Amino acid sequence: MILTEAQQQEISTFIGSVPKYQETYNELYDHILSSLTAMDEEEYSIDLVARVINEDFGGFQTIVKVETEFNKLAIKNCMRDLRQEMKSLFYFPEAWKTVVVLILCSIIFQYSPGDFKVIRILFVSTFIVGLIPIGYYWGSRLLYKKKGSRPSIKDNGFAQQSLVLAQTAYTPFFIFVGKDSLLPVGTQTCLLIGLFMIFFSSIFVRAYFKLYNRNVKILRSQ
Amino acid sequence: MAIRNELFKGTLQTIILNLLEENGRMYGYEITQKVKSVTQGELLLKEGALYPALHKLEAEGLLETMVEVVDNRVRKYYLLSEDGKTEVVNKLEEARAFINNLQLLLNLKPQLK
Repeated sequence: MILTEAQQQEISTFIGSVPKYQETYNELYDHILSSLTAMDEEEYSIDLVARVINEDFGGFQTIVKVETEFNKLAIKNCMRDLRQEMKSLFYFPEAWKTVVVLILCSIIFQYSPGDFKVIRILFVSTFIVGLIPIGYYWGSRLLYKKKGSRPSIKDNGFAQQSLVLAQTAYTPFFIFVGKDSLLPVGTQTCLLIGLFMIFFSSIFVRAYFKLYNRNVKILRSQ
Repeated sequence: MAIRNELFKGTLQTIILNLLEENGRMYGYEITQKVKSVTQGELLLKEGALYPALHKLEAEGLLETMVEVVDNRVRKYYLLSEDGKTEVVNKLEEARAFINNLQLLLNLKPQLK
């Protein structure tokens, strides 16, 4: 059967509130329309749409269940993609930027006067850098909401990722550097830890931006 | 005679991977229809089983996805990743060995060699 625009709109409204995420909606909508288009002997009705959903998908409840499972997998996937993206920054051509950061860190380590002033600056910088992914994610998401589109299933994964750096940046400070640190270490070791955190933060932020921007680009093209 | 879906649940991933190896890229509805036509309607792959399997394969990195706008709607295509191309060979070998053993266990005459 050939579906009119009004019928397609009716189907879209009918399934509209069930899938929470854009990806699930797209897949469900395309599947139903493909299924109905292939039916030559049947006449269109919203009951027929309901029948397709019940017989093929097992009803709206099953769709929600499948989506919940998909969401869990998407979060896991997102973390795996970020790790891969971080690894890719150690291969050329991206490795050039990584090498530059590494050289800068080595210069600071070599020529630093070796007092806590530099260490404090390094850790404060890490805290600030740790907040960048959070700001970037929420800022970008606000823009999405204005456009009236559904959230992407990857949003939860990106939201969790955006917190990772802020959470990890504090840990070495409290363990090694803070006033009541659990494991106090010497100035040079503190400096080394601070520089490692700066290096790690730069890798994390670059990988996060690359991954997130690529995902946003795909979503905007839909 | 229609085959009970429980019988091919364990080989669903292999079926999907093999179909994608043969056809390049496919979308969900296309996969269900391919299974139906190849088996002449004996096997009906329900969407409630297909999509979780596709999502799982995607999460495991065996499938990649791409989206295209077709007839004013977004269509998600699935295709084998590099890891998926390797895995499909292993899965097919595993399935063939299982079928051979099943034939021995059920005293079936080998029909396919």
